[in-house]
Amino acid sequence: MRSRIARNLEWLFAAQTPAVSSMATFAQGAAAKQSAELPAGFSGHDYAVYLLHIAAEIEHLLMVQYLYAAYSLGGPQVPGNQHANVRRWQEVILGIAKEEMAHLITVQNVLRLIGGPLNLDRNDYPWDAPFYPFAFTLEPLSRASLARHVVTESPEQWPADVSPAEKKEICDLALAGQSMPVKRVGVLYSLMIDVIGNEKLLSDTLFQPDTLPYQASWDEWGRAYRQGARGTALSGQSKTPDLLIMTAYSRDSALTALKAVAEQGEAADIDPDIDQASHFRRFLKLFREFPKPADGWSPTADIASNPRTMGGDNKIPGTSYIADQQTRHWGDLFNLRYRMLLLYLSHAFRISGSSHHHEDSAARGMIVHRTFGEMYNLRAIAKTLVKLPLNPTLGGPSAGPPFEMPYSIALPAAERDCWRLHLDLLDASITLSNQIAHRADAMEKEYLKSLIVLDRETIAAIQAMMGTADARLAPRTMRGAI
Amino acid sequence: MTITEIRILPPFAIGRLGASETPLENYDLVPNGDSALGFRQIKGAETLRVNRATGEITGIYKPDRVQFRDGGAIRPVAPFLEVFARTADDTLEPLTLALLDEHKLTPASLTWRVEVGNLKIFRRTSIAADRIEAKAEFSDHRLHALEGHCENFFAGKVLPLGSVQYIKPTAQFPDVRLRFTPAGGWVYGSSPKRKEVDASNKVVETDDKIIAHDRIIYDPKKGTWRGFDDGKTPAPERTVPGAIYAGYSDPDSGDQISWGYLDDECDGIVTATLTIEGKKLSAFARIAAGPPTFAPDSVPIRTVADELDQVLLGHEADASVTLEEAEEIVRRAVESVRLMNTAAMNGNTIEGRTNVASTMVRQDTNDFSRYFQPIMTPTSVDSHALMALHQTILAALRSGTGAWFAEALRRPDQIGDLSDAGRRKMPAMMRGADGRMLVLSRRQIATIVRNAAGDLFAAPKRGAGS
Repeated sequence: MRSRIARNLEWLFAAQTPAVSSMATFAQGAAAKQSAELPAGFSGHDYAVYLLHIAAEIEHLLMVQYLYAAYSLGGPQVPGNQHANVRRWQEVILGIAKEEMAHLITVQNVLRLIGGPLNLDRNDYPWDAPFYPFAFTLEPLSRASLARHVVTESPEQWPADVSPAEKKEICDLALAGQSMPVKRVGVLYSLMIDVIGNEKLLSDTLFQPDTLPYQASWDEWGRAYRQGARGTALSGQSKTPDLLIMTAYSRDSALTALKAVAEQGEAADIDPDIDQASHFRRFLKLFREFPKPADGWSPTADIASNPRTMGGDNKIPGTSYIADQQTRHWGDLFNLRYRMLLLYLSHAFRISGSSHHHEDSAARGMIVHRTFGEMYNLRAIAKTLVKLPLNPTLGGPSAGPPFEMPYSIALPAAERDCWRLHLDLLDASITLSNQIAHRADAMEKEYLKSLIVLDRETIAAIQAMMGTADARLAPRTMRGAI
Repeated sequence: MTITEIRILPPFAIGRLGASETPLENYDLVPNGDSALGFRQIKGAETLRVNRATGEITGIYKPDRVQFRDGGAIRPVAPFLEVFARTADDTLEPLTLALLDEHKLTPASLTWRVEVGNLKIFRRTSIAADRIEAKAEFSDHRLHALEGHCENFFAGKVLPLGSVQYIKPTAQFPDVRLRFTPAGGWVYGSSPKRKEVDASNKVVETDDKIIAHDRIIYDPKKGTWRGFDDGKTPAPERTVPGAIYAGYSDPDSGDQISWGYLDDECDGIVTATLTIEGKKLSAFARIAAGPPTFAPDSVPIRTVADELDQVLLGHEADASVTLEEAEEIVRRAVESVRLMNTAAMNGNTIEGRTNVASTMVRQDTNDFSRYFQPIMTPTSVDSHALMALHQTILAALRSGTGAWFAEALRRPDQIGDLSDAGRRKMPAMMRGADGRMLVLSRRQIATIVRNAAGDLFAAPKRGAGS
């Protein structure tokens, strides 16, 4: 977490030793404090925005870590009789990552509702900071990382079917090597819900329903995924809950959204359906199925941890510099497309989806689709990176998607400049793709060629929209009003 | 060598209507090498040139450029049916002059019988006198017109359903073949007048400017097709969707009333018979004539070929199904989106007008009284953006990424799901033959599911992990 955010947390934290329960204690203390006392320099509203920023950052971090874990699965060492299991595990984790993305978007909706700045930023390197569930690490999936995911998403009271011995095993594995306590995400949501639900801290007038057309809805972003729809293609049995992209137009709807997001993470014993589909449950199931070293096989390929393209070959503890130049360029391309994704997503919150703003509709549609397009591109590039060598020498691990944050993901003040920024990044991507293509294999070349063609088309469409190119290419003009 | 059996290949040939005297030349559709995401290229393929007067093939050539029309006349797709002989257990060889000669036979020893029909009116009225049928039987090499006869036609009138010709085997082209040339693609009628609904919602009769006088062939005094009302047909016998014939909407009942139009499509059976040493051998094939293709460089997302694949190979996809086959389905999705006015088909309000076209949105409302509501959010269906999105998926597939989107596909048991999520499954906004949302064939879905993992278990590249 960035230090300017973290420093405000000092007010909430006392020195703690690694333990799981410490966050619960913290939450009780914090909830008690919030009605009577706010951190210095905060109003109730600003404090709510601050907590939402932390929530956004955590959802974002969880998402990329889960994505990394999912992409680490596979490889030729997986025995044939385990292929179906490994594929299913990958689908389960990708499904959870998608849900974290949906949570991230829901948090942005609440920020939009109460007039706070959006936050799609997150910590890069270094990783240890006081309010993360655990130290941020991009690493191949393992029993230890699964244990941390289980703990992060755990409810305050663990369900009865987890024996004390199993809980201890999970907690011990999760805490091993952690300098800070592993925290439950649910704690933060409890605090947020208390603050946002408190009329004394946030008056009704701060909730702005006219922001609804700018928010992201399931209708637009859910891609028709409903209960059980993800993770079922291969196994037919990994039931998952709805993709929670919830809009908010009032205090109540904001609280409902945040509660739903919190519930999707933790198990809720009251409702067996929610319990079974929670992230906690899904990770727990995966933890129980995941092979131990004694089983003699690994479901993950030999992939580096915390790959990075920046900083040169100097040692940064715990990281893996991508020394192979060609692989590093793929990493650069991944980072660039990741930046594009975040900017498209951020831009979508600026453009109205209201049917009364016809002129915006095509632009919003384009931005939403471009966001999804970048998700698909990231998937393709990540899959390439986990097959490419980290080092130029023979042998050694493969690289992985570095997910490095750009210097900024702030959008320019003027709308036209936002579009110019998109053009800049598309242009940079074409240059980089051409550069990589020189040393790429046939299949990689094929992909890069297609990416360049699509980028050129997007450039033409944006230029047309801006009135700086052949207007016949403008999406709106091509198909009439929408 | 004894001929024990004869067969006609292909066993099913689909022609396309066209009024030009010159049939369409053969072509292949190949992906564009310069732009993998671009239009497919039409490459001329080997084509037989036939002299219609003699019935002989005069040459074989590969066109540099494939021409689809001659002025306003579209070139028909006129398929050949070839006769093969089974001469041993595992041998199926073309029936040629030499093979005939070996059995002391000549081309004239073989008899063709062609029976086709256009039963579209009969399908609706259930009146036998509305059957339109044509027959031809011959052993010569003249062009035989397929004249559709119908009891309810005016006296002396026929519906031309195309022609067939027994191609004369020659030393250079010795194979036994038949060519089916579909009809011109004309619309025929029942009256010089037709009824319309005027601005004051009254039914008025006006001159029919569509049907030329010489194409008025159906006698409305004999048959009921002109003025036919599908609304009065018992539900199980109606087509789904119903009332899809030319006519007007009756202002009182809202029913579709037929103008009495008919087209010159047909389908039927071709039989070849050969008597060898007193033993009569015969084979049959099916032929059909459909409308011309107006986007020949595209392949629809689901075709008859997919149905045949499923029948032939089963609804499961085995390990031999490749990522390229999944990619081909996505390519066809891109091509379909390219041809769609997605904003209109989504049920968007267009320039202030709602419900502007016959769409699945209207269909859901008409059939089930569902609230009229666009399928996707109106902002998300710009066709340019949608095409770019589909192309991105295609590009990602080409990188070896698995076909991860299997869950986004509609399943065959979900075609009537009118929930928001159900209507948004892929393929979206399109209607299947059963009148509800289009779904891919089970085999197509299985092909995508089979490829969901991509190269997940492949080895790393260039030495990594070794």
